[in-house]
Amino acid sequence: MKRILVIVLCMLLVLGAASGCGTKKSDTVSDSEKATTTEAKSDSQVEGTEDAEKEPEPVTIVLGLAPADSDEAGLKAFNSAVEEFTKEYPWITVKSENFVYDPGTFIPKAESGQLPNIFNTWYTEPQKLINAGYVAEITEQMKAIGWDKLIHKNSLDLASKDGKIYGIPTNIYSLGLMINADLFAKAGLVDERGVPLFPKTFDEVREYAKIIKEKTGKYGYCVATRDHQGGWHFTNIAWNYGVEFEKQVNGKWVAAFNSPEGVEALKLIYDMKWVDKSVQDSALVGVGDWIKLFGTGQVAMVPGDSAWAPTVVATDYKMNKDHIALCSFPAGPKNNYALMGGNLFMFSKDSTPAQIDACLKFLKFVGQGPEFDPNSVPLLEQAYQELRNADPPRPITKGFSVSIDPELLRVHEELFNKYVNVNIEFFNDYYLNNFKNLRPEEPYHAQDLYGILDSVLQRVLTDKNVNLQELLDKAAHDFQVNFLDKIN
Amino acid sequence: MDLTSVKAMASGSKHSYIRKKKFNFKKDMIGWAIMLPGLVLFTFFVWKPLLSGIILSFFETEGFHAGKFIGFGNYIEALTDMNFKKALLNCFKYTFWTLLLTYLLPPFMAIIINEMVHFRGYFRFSIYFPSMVPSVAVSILWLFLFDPGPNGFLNILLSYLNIEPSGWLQNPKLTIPLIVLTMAWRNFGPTSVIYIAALQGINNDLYGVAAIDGAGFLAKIRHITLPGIYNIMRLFLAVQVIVVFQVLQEPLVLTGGGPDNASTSLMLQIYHFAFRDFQAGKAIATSVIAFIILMSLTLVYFKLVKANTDME
Repeated sequence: MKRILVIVLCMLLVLGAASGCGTKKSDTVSDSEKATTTEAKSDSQVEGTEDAEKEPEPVTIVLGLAPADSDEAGLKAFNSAVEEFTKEYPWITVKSENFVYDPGTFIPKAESGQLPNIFNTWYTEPQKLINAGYVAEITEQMKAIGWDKLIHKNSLDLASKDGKIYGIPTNIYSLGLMINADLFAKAGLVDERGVPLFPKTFDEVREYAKIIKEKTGKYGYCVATRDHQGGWHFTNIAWNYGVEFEKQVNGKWVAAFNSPEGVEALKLIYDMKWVDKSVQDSALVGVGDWIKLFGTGQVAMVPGDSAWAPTVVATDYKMNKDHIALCSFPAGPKNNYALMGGNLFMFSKDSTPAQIDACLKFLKFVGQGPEFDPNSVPLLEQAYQELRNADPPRPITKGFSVSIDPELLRVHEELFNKYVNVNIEFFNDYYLNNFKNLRPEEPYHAQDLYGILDSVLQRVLTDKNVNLQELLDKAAHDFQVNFLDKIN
Repeated sequence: MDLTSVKAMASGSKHSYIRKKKFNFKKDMIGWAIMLPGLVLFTFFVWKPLLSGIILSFFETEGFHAGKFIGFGNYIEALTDMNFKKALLNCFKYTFWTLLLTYLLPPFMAIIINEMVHFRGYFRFSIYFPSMVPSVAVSILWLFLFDPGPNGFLNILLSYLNIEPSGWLQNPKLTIPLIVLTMAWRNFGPTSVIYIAALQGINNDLYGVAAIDGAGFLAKIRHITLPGIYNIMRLFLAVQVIVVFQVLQEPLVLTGGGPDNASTSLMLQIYHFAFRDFQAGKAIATSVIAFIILMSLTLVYFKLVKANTDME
């Protein structure tokens, strides 16, 4: 009897463990459920015209678009938009989370089915995500509502493969130079109206960084070196020094950045570190690190774009919005490019057509899609007000939509002008000049290139005796052998 | 017990004694039943992923799903990757520095604490305490201490001694030894406690007899203490090599593998392949290579130990 009892207990334990391995039904969508929701899809797709007549199937979506908890104002505006949306579409249940795209955590979430239905990512990522099969195709849904014709073609191509659409590009950015206006003022680098003297060239960046270090004791310039941030920033500097990173020679792609121009660009960083001592001490600086350095007034200049300004203020460092300025990316001896990138929405592979359709409705409702929706205006206004009333107030900065809907562009411009709460002169140089000479990121393996350049910059910041030519030769060789040779 | 078994026990050959036992499922049923949950969990969470991984390493991957069979393609990719050689070399560096700086620390601390008359419990708790702090928190704590600027904690201390600030973790020559020190600080406590337990298992009479024979402190350590904990030291040597060879979290948090890959490890490289570059096949192939290396090292180690034991 005792033996039987022990065996039964053990079997129960095994069953308990096995049930722990199972997946909750509510977490996934089975094939039969998919079939049901597919039917619902065709209903909801035509709903745009026949909303009232149909009784849509209930659908639950998870939006990975909620701002972080620390961004109370943004979160309040988002939650209120969700509330309005669910009033308008009562059959759609909305769950939301603060999903920040991070290549380091994306795969575990994707493999374990924990991706939200919709999430935001960067222009460098779609092809990688499409090839890995982690995102859903949305061609049918996009065509059904005509959004495929409302997005700038070059941007839409980035989110497409073999004629199929997988993402919705929303905006483009151009890399500029973020300025801590307070440190510039303390260093005397302001004009008579108190507007920072924006450096036009990298010679001026070096000169200003040196002055700031001497007069304030703070770092003049921040060289990022981790999380691919360093490579991303350095690519733009190097272009302006005349560097070609990837070029075609006899039909083959060649890594060409170990040129004299490449060495010259790297020498700028070397001199700022070892001669002027005007860059930060740490040689391992990722996103969080440079935000901390800039947000706490430890550094005066760092490459960035208009979207970073509210982010820096929304962090725990609570930087004063009036201390942020943004200018166009400084020119080098050869060029005056500004690196162009952007963001797009993508959908997890497990999303059903009905869920994708519901997400598109949400984007349209809150004015995040490429199509103008008059109903979105009050929500956009509310979002602006929340940002203005936040503690501390967020700087209202301008985004650049990839939509070609003139009405949407006009309304966004009007709303920006109505709610802008920063000294526009602190940003005008960027808004007026930085989109004149855009250059897209390198065509192949841009993120891998940034990773290699991160290592190069780390070496420059840690080894005073480094041979810059040899360093770039090795980096170019590594990039060629490990990446470019595989596409040739 | 038959005569053969008695002889086997008398000759110290425990294995030959056990071998003689007949497999009797009915008699051992309770034992099997007790082991069953563990075996099931082990099968699902260890053996199945392990075997699936090995199989997957021969396929082109889409996410973590198998595509086309490509034979050793992933292995060639992994072995020719620009960072593989450096990561592998770094693993040996981690192992070297661990053995050099920290292998003898736990037995040393254990011997000192074991010799203490007062506050033994306090010191035992003190050395165990760091292992109770979450490891990421420990790494962040060290990051503050190792801040490379003049305002970094350790650099401020150096400035009082008129010594130039150091780059600490950002000095490629120091980064691995310092990471090893942070690992040792957190992990040597539990190991020391096991050594203390082993020391307390040594017959005290032996020390008394040695004292009568005129043996001093060092002679007692050499002839009684060290032989008493020799087996545990041997075990920890193998365990430490295996654990340190797989170091991941410390370089990930402290340096991200930098500067210029000076602290990257094979596991960190695998993590980057899998989760940063989305190259699951390459990541798994590298894992299998790491597994083979560790297995080989362990086999060589056991062979050496066996040869040593046989000689004795």
